[in-house]
Amino acid sequence: MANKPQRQMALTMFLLALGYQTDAWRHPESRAEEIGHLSLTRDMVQAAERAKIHSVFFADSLDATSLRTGGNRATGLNEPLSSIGPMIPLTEKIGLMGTISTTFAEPYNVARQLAGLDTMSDGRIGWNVVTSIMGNQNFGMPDMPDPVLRYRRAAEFVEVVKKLWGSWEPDAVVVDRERGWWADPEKIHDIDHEGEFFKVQGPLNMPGPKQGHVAFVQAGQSPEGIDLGSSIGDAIYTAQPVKDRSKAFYEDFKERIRGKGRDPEKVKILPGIMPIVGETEAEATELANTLGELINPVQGRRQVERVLDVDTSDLDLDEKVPAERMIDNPGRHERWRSLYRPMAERMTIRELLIELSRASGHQWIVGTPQRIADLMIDWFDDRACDGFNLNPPMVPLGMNRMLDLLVPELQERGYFQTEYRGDTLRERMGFEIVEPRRDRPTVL
Amino acid sequence: MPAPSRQMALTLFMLPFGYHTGVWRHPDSRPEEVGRLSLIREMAQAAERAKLHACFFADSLDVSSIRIGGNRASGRYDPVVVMAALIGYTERIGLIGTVSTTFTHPFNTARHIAELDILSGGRAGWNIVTSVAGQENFGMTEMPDSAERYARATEYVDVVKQLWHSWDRDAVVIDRERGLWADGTKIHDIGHIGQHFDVRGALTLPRPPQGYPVLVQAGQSPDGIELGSSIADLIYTAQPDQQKSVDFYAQYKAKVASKGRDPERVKIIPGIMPIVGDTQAEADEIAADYGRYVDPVLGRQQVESTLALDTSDLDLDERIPAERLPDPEHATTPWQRTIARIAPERTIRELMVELSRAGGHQWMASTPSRIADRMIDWFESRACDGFNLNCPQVPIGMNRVLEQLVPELQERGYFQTEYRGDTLRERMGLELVD
Repeated sequence: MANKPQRQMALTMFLLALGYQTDAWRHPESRAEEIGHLSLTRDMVQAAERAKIHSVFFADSLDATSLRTGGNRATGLNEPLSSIGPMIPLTEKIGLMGTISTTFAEPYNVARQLAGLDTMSDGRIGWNVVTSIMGNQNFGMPDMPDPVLRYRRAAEFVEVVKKLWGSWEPDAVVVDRERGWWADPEKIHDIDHEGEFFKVQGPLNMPGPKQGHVAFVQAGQSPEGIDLGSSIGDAIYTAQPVKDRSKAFYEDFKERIRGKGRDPEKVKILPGIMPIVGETEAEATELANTLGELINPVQGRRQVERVLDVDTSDLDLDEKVPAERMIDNPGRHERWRSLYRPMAERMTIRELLIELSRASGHQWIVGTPQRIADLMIDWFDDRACDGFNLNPPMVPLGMNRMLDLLVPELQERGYFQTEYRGDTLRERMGFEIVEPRRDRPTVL
Repeated sequence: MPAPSRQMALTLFMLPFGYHTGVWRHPDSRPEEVGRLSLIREMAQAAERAKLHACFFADSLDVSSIRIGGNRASGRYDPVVVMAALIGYTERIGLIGTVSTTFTHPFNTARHIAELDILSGGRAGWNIVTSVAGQENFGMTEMPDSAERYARATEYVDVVKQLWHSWDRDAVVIDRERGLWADGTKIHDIGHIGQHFDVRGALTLPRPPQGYPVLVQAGQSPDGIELGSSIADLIYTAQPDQQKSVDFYAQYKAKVASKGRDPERVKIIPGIMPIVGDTQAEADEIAADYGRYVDPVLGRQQVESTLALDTSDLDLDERIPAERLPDPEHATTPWQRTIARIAPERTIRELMVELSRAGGHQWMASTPSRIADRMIDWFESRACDGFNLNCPQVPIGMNRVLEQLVPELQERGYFQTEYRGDTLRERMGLELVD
């Protein structure tokens, strides 16, 4: 066997009970009846913890459109704040990451909720900081703010939240029974924030998180998203189906992190991957084919139309979308430009719908644990990534094969931990350590 | 003795500092654990062992009491996330939490409470409040006035209820054959356009198991009573006087009936702080012991602010001269009236202990049997439908309430010995929502 690898992967798991591949819930062995319920969410998180996955990740959506139109990889069925809570007593060490939009919430509320979860979980919380691209109709807004404005708000939102977490000094809770002080008021400070979007006096009404700052996750690939992520992100989610592009992204991103005076080794870049695993190639292919047959072409076409933002009703499934229909505008998500438009240039609608159903911009691979591990290790050793966000193709069968066959293969080769190490999510994932409840990161 | 024809509703006020001001300083208190899960988990589990209907989390965005050393305050737990965590530790007990309508958006709150109801299997409740402080943390220079706050709250609740019903009960069809997990024709826009909110919907979550999670209201202003009698299932109220509580109860139930609702299915639940001892002497001793933890400076301030007067020239063991006391008949609040009535007979120290005990609610230091007598008397005279239990001290004072007083009520048939029903609404005998 080769030498022991110098670094190990960070692995997180996307908690999508429907299964990551569109319509995978139609598989007869899925647990579709329990989607959104405690039983299935619990079983998924506990399975991930048994495999020593660093963290699970709850995505979110504030818009029911895709649920209503049969877009069946939809998020939104597990509201992250309320869903993370019950997982705390049901697990011990695994990280619990969730999406909270900065577009439709108030920083004071979010600061409290995350601080509370982090304290209650002994430092296992991560926050995926997003700006919403839809949902305005539910919040009294006629249109979505443009991306530049959304990211300015997001950056200030995070700044306010960090200030609020730092508004209690680490030793503010003194519990001095004799003098009658539970907290020392000299160590609780107003923040007096006045910015473009928020005016918040503070202080927070509780101590900050156990981790100082909960771990920050960022996934935006636009220039604004990359700027925010390189400034504050501890984990960076990214859609990278091609290794060379991922290497270029990785190098550029780490350089930006260094440029901001941060240690690039402590920020983990984690592309998504959907592994369809079988003990043999034949078994893997069989599962892939079964899942492929479950894709509804009508819904699939709709998903293509939604992602590309075009009408294809006059086109045959085996035609391509004419280039003149792919019209750019400033409101477009970066992924539309960098991923979806190039895909539409080379694939037919049917190819697009299968591709989107599988991966939605992320890479997917069908194979044995050995072959998939080869690919993951190749990416990892070549610095195309620091690990992966694992998208389970279906639940529970596809997820279990991923956790019970693929992850042990990585462990055997020394590329993934066999035990959790450290006391908090930041320690376990090798992120910057933030001195508890202060606004200044201290790199140990 | 025949079994009583109705049984009490009992909830536990989740205040790990203890309800009695200053009692967190008691050597048996565990203030080191406030904010963490350990103690709050024990409280919820102890309440569940006692078959209490629900745990109740109040909330406050105010830090000023912490900054002056006053620590009966709520707010060290965000109710949504702590209720979420307790789902994983409990099985049957209801989880009720306060979410302000002043500083949040109904779409977010509808999701949070619906998700809690789904994950807990129908055990969630929402205490609907309008905030009286906290504007400085939400970019507002002053608080909206009470009428405006309640107008917003009323519309807010309306939006949330519409969102909870934006999915038909049978919208989740899980039709593998046709490829429909949810039937889009059974998920509806709400199309709400109002004075405060424009919300199209639909929610991103199926209808919660209870239809509407349990709605709780505690405002005693005319605006609060109007809102509570229209939509609330549980009414929390501060009623230190039995006859007044009987009157409040009768008026409130009449108001509920006038809105076409069944008054028996709306529960009026005053707070009570029971200081339980094995004997009267022991209870008195415990009460006196708790009283010693009240900070004299803060205690005096509380007396002064409650009665709106100055006592800086008086010793704590003096009485306040009668000419300084407000006329109870012209008191500015019911609570001031109550304290003004007893003030001529009490020293400042005694008043400060009184205030530290009850905070506007009744308290009683006695044996389980005599406290149960009083609770049953209130219940039978229709002064209430049950109580919100304010535990003077945690954990020992709480355990005496749950392990001595509650069993006494159970033995006499006034409180359930097992949970009955599948959801909090069913277990508390509230309106069932399709």
